[in-house]
Amino acid sequence: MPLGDMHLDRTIAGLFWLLLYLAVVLVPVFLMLVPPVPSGRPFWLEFSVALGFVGLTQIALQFLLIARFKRLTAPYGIDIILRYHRRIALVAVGAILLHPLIIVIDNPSRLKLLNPLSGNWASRFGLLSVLVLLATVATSVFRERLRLDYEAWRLLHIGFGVAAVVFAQLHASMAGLYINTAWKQAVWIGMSAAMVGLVLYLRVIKPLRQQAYRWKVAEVRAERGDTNTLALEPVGHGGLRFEPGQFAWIKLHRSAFTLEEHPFSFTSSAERRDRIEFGIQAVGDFSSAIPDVPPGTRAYVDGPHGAFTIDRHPAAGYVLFAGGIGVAPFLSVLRTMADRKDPRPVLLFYANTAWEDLAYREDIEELRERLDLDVVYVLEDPPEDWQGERGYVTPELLDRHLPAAAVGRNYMLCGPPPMMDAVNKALVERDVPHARIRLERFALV
Amino acid sequence: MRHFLANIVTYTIVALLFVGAAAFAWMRYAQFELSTETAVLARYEPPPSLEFEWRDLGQRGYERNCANCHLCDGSGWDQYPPVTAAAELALRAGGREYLIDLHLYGLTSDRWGAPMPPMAHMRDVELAAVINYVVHQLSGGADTPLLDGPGDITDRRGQALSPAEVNARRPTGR
Repeated sequence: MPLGDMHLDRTIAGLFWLLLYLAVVLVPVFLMLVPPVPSGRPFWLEFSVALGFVGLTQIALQFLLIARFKRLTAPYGIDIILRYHRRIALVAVGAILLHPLIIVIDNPSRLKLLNPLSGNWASRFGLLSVLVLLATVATSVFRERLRLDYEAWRLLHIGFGVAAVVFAQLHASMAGLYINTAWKQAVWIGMSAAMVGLVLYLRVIKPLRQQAYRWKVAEVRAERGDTNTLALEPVGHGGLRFEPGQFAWIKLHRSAFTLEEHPFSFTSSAERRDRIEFGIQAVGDFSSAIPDVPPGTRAYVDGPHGAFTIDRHPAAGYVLFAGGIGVAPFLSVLRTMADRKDPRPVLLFYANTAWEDLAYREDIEELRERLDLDVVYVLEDPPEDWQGERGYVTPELLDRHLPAAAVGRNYMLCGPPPMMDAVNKALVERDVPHARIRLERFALV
Repeated sequence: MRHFLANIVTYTIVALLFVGAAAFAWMRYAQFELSTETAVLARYEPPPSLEFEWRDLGQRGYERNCANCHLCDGSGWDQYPPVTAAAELALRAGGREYLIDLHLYGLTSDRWGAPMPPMAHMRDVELAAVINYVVHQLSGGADTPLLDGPGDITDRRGQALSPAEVNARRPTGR
């Protein structure tokens, strides 16, 4: 398929899902205009009801977003979807909070509905749902401050999410002023149940399928800068096809049902399906334990995911910016290009603290002989005899190294957010079109 | 670019959701419904020369606006009181006015956990019909209808009572 068509396909697919999304959120709300309906109440009261319903469908839809359906995530990239999930969930919680607030302001005698000892079952379930949602937001936004470890948070997040939707649906169904016929109940309960049911898909059906699609740890290799390469080999199947720059969720456990699952970038060549490698820097409990993983350990791979790949964004050449372990996806890019005997020019900026901590330094030097590759190392804390660039990737540094005639090149950035923001800004100021700049915000969780 | 676009799309979706919610609210407020002919006809005040036909209108209005809490037979459930005492209340001094006011301005008391929301958004003709329906069909009131027509409701609008003030006016005995 010509690349132009592929791009158009993704745009159409992206628009299709977007419209479907709006329809799923709004159609059940507007169905409540079908008689029998209660007499219309004042605008703000009706608006608060609409906010409650829109909030409920929004929260329910979050289960669809995080179910990692590739067809749904591919047009956008899963990093975008997860960022959207965080933002829209906050908007939904805001809408849901406005719902009781407006109702009470409209008629303060309703305040007693917020007291679980008075009120009724509909108001009690509504109250429960709001409390659970607030707890969900608090444990997510302040997860690190609360010292919640990732697995505990994940379990909590799923539990809270399911509870919030179930309680909210009970509230709406029992209040029953709007959902007032059997068929309206069926539409609403059906939708909420289907969305919550997606948890079963992600946590039961998908792991069941993964059980038959096993991998094993072939090797753990220590690299510079507290980084380890984890190499996996397929057990009884042909492996996995990915695009250079993508990532996958990895489980290192006897059972695919474990909640301990982490996303890592491929570092190996996309031309090799029978052995895949990941670059993992020791930052948390899971990644620090990688060196102790014995070869032969069972592994499960959910992937590939992500849209940060050179195959989707063809260009006459590439300028890559890596900060620290952000070099991982680019390693896959360079290795794949070398295997493909790709003649296109590549310029890699690789920023890190010290020369000795430069993960994959030797591999990159080797790749220079097989590719049209230039590398600019930028060290914060260079050795005394260092002749190269020092400090950060500044606009002046870019001016010294960016090729004068770089028409048609794509710029890919992966590193700490402050670095990506600074480089992105400098590139835009140097008239690089937005469409040619790709950022990988790999802090997914 | 991707993240830039994603931000625009996110804000667009958020805006559209709020616009959608506002559109729904406006349609509801404007009494829009995907409707039937009888529902449309019921919206017009009958000319005063016509007899006040409250039975059908009252039942329909009760089922759409009240039955959700007070149930179709008026027996109530949970923290929602039964309406079957309405006929007895109507006989007390000031009972007729009390019944109208609690519909227009709402009612809150220690007797029940859930407050009665104001139903002032209903049209006079519909509200009058509903009150007659409650008094005569659900709580076995006398043959003469309590309210003569929409005018009885119109007369008691514009008092700016709070639900607690309505409760204070509850007639005590005969």
